[in-house]
Amino acid sequence: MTEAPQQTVLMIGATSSLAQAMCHVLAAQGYGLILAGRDVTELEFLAADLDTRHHTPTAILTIDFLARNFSPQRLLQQAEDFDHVIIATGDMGDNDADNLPNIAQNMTLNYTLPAQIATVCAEHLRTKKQGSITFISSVAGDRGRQSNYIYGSAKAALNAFASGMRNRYCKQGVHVMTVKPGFIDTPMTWGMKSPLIASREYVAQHIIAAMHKRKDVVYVPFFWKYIMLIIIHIPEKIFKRLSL
Amino acid sequence: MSTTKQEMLSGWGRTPVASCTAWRPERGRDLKQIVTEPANADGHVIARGLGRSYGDASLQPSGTIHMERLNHFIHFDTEQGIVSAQGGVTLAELMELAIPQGWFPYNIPGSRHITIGGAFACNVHGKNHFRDGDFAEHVLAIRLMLATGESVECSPHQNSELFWATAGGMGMTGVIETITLQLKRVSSSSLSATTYRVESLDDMIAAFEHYRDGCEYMVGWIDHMAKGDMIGRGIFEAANHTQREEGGLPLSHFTPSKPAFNVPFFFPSFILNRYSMAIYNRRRFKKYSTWRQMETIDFNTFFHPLDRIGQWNRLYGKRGFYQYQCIFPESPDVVVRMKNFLSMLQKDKIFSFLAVIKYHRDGQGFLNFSKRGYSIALDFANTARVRRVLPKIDQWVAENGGRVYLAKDALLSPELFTFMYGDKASHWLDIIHDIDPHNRFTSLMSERLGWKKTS
Repeated sequence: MTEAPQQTVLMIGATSSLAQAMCHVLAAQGYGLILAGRDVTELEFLAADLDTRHHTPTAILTIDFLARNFSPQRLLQQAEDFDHVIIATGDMGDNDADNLPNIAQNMTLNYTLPAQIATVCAEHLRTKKQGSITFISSVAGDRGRQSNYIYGSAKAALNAFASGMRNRYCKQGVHVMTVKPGFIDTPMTWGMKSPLIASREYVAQHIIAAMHKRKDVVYVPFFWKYIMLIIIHIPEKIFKRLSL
Repeated sequence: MSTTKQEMLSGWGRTPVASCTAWRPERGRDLKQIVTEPANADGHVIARGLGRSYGDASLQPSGTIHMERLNHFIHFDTEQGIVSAQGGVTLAELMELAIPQGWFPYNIPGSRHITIGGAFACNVHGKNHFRDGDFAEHVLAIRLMLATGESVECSPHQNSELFWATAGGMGMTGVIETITLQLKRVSSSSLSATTYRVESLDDMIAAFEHYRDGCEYMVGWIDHMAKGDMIGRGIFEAANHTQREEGGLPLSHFTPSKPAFNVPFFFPSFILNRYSMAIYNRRRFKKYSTWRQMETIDFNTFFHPLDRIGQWNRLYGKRGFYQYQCIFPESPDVVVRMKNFLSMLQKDKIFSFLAVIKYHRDGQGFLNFSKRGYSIALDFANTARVRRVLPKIDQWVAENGGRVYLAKDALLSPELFTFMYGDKASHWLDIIHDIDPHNRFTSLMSERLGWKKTS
């Protein structure tokens, strides 16, 4: 092995399409990985693939985030040591706002869980006085739209949470980054007709590069920054009548 | 339920183009759900790799399954050269992994942008068929998902009938989940090639006969515009892997090449006509001398010259093209037959931009097109004349004991298929009927060739 101590990334929700792409980027750069997810078969496939292609040391944590007895503290104990954490769980889910349990479930998956996991991880990283926490949020959190406002509101809450955390841990050496991806070529957008869909490899490369540069808030691909800049400045009087 | 997308899909030749309902699963359990309960109108599905077969083999309008995201490597034994991977792994990825560690796939077809699952289902071959046979001959085992969702391990020793029915079986038995493949040792990333010009088909065949005992790879390129005494003139190329000690390039020199440029749009159809093709072919022919030129050549240049041009199929324009490959069994008059074949096409005024000749040995499996002899591969722009002439050529090939290669076919008739592929094909039809009694796996090809009749 190399002389420099190898850094390890804890990937939460590792089997998601974007997380897998990020794992490949990190593995190619020589990081060790702890893969946390629900689907043990897919985690094993991913670990074998990373080992075969990049000889990356990986550990697997099979965790059902949605289980009643899920405990972020236990996750941390099992994860052993790590230097960075990327939280890529989340799901667009169902936007049927009239279905009340939907709202709670969406909130759990897209806000409560990432926030709880980040909190326990931050405590761990604070003792080391280094490392980073990356939240994979969404452009959907910038303004609520009729088509996905349950998901969007959960992501908006997550953005505020991340911003507060960044403020709190800034002086303690732990960096917190908020990533707002636009459309990525994953199962979430399969079937969608849009010229703006970016490849997962491109998005993954840019997220990891931003992590190295310790950016605060990044839009990927970059042009979403300007799209969202326009969208958030449309007066509400007009916005409420649009079908975006 | 996995989401679907409506897409215009085609094989590499763009003949035909069909509107297909498509899935792109990323997890094994999604694939299983699609296969067992496709929830489309008639419950038919076909697995599709990267869509590099030329005709209609990878198309099913009611349900096409993109396999490209099921592309994890599972294991690479660098001592034995045995690699296991999911069916969606590409040959390019495999080469990128294996070559720096001194291993090389036995079979390299004309493009590396193919999945290994597709390579097995079409049982592809390269320029070394006469020595190393087809892709499936180096596959140690596969895991096949049947219509019931059940996964079956198949190998030449275990469920061997199903293994050989799936090899070259065009996806009719199920979906190939994983493949375990034997690779061969290489010590350098280059080949020593001998290239020279041959003035006639007789010289071409003489070259194949001269080199076949001492060479690993042989290929001939034919100037299809040359007529009369010059018919079959072209360039012959034979190559061997170079040993590192003998001055071969280091393994680390292998680079997974990106296309040098992309064809940015569909060319207008008139650009590739017989006059422009004649000029190109003549210039290419004149570039080489009859002297035997020895050179060291890298893998990309030797195996995948066309991969340097991204989306080269657009050169034929929107109408697309037909790729045609047939076998001429070895016989005392094989040269005469091949000359007749080439001149017959010329008389019908259909010309091929690229014509490639290879030497084969007898193939294995039920639906194998190879026989000991020569194959010629041609491509023709999709015109009314070509569509009229090719069925006649199929007839001629059948009468001359030959077969048409299914991975490139789009026009063969069911009658001629039965005639060409014979008893083994009828046995194969029984096997696929038993393994998939409700016709879950069908494609436009299987519908055209009448493989899955409801009983």
